[in-house]
Amino acid sequence: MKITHAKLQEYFTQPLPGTDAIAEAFTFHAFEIESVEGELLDIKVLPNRAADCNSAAGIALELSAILDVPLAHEPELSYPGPAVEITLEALNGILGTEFSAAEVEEVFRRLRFQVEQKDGAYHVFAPAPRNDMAFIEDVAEEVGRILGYERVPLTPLPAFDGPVDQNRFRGVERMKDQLVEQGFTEVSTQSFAKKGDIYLANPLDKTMPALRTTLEDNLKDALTHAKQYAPRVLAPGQKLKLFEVGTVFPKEGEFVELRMTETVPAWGENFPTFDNLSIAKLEDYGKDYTPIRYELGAYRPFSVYPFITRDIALWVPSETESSAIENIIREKAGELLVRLDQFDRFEKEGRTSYAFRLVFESAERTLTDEEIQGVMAGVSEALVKAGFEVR
Amino acid sequence: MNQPGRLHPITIAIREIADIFGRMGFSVAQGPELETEHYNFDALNIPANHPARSMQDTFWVKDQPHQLLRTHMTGVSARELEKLAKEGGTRMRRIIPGKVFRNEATDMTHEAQFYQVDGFAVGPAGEITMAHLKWTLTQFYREYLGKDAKIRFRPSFFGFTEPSVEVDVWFEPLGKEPRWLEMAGAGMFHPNVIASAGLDPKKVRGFAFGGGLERLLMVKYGIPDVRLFHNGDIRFVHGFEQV
Repeated sequence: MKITHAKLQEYFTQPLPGTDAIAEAFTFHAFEIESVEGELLDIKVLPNRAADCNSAAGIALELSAILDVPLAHEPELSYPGPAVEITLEALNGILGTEFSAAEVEEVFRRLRFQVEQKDGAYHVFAPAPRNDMAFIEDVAEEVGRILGYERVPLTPLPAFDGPVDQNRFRGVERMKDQLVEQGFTEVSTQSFAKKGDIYLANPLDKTMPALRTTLEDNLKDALTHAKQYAPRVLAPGQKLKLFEVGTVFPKEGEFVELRMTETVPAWGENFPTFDNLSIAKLEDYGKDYTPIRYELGAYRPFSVYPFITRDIALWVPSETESSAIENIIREKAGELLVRLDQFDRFEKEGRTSYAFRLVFESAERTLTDEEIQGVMAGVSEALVKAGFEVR
Repeated sequence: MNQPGRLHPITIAIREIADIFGRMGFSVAQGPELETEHYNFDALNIPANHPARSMQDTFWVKDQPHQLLRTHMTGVSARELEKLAKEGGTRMRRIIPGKVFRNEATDMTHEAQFYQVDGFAVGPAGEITMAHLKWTLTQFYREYLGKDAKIRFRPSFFGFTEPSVEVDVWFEPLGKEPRWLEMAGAGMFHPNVIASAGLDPKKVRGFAFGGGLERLLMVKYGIPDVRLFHNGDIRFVHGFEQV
């Protein structure tokens, strides 16, 4: 609901803090602020407070509780009940806090709750039309919200004495680790498909109204696209192999499919290029396995512009380290060089032959052949100057 | 020639999350992507008229009333709590990663399919509190994002938890100003959710949390567009330095 600072001020005698401070106060007390425009606040009232906070008077009453500032005219409130019965111990037992009785009672006062104490418990009545006080958890939330969750301490979770079972999950991860070891790259594709056994009543993309029944089509598409980019991500001679693990939805019922673009040598020729992991017995397979952990560095975005590849071969004295050659190439090729792979090496008559593939790409533009020709000429020149024979 | 493949960054993240929570006693649970309205909404104390159930937010299955694509992983939590009730137990800890679906237009920060991770820990009443939730999530973010990470609870409202909080994480993203980022929703299981599973809410209580995975990875690695994750493009998977 939208309300101005001036409108809110009408409900108070003492001056309210500024609009931004009020917005902040609501944000940290379970209201969302959609926008602040000058003195106009757009407050999103969450469903639990729709009954009492959808009026200016309701919002003012709430603000009075949050800021602990009295209203100019205290409204007549009614308390139809039923009451929520809660002990201080139970309240602190939900929040993990050590709030005192005085602090909790102060919150009740600020919120205009009517409270009776009977047999060591509070009987809490919320003012009508508030209808969100039904459980002890509701009362605990009000106390946490008003006193602030920064007062909830960090208490270590007690040790768990039961079994921790990640076996099935680890079984799947073990298969993935084997695939990576065999040179497969994992991809993730969309669950929506042109055709299938199950259709959506409200597809987002009308051309993809169904749920996939297999990963095969997506993986084929991914491979076709990947082939265009292979030199950008793989060294020459490396084969492009993909796999995906994902849920598929045939009419017999959904299952988790593993699909590869080709057979896995380590698993034997008879192992097909797909598997139903939902029925596979993976618990024992994963039981004592620790999935390999990887640390990833920052993401390096790829260019939307095409890359260009060039190969270079050269003879060098046999004692020359390939890293020395690579250093010269990198230095001369400059920042357009995004990948450098050595893909051939042999020795003959006291000399060594090396072959490298260079991949060029710009983040800002399409490179021209002439430009790269110039770069390559510079690279060749530097290699010759270093005493190597470019072939 | 040695030709190692690559894992998708989501796989790498889920492994790390499962490992961190595994050391805190959490088992991994999984469940169906095609879910019933019961587990996705009813069992989670989400009112019948709640806007989340609308055609604008949820993908419904054609000609199969009450069938939908799960919009969060919390339905699996409800299923796991039912198992606990059947076993007659009172303690359970689960970490639940998986794909979820929302019917919303896609852009750089929105995808109709993405991953979420839910988790919960329940125990006899009084054993598990908001303070344990705060510690558990702090442990996680410190291990996952770095030792300077810290969290704050901002009061909020979700049907399935009471009290409910948004979890903001203080993080220093690569090359950006440190700031508070809204990372997850959390709270204590609502008594109705516990009761729905067949447990006595006076005897069993605990915390639950859930958050999006892509957003966490976008922040951690500086990924500019959420649509890169699930378009099958190998350039994305290969776009990270592997340390």
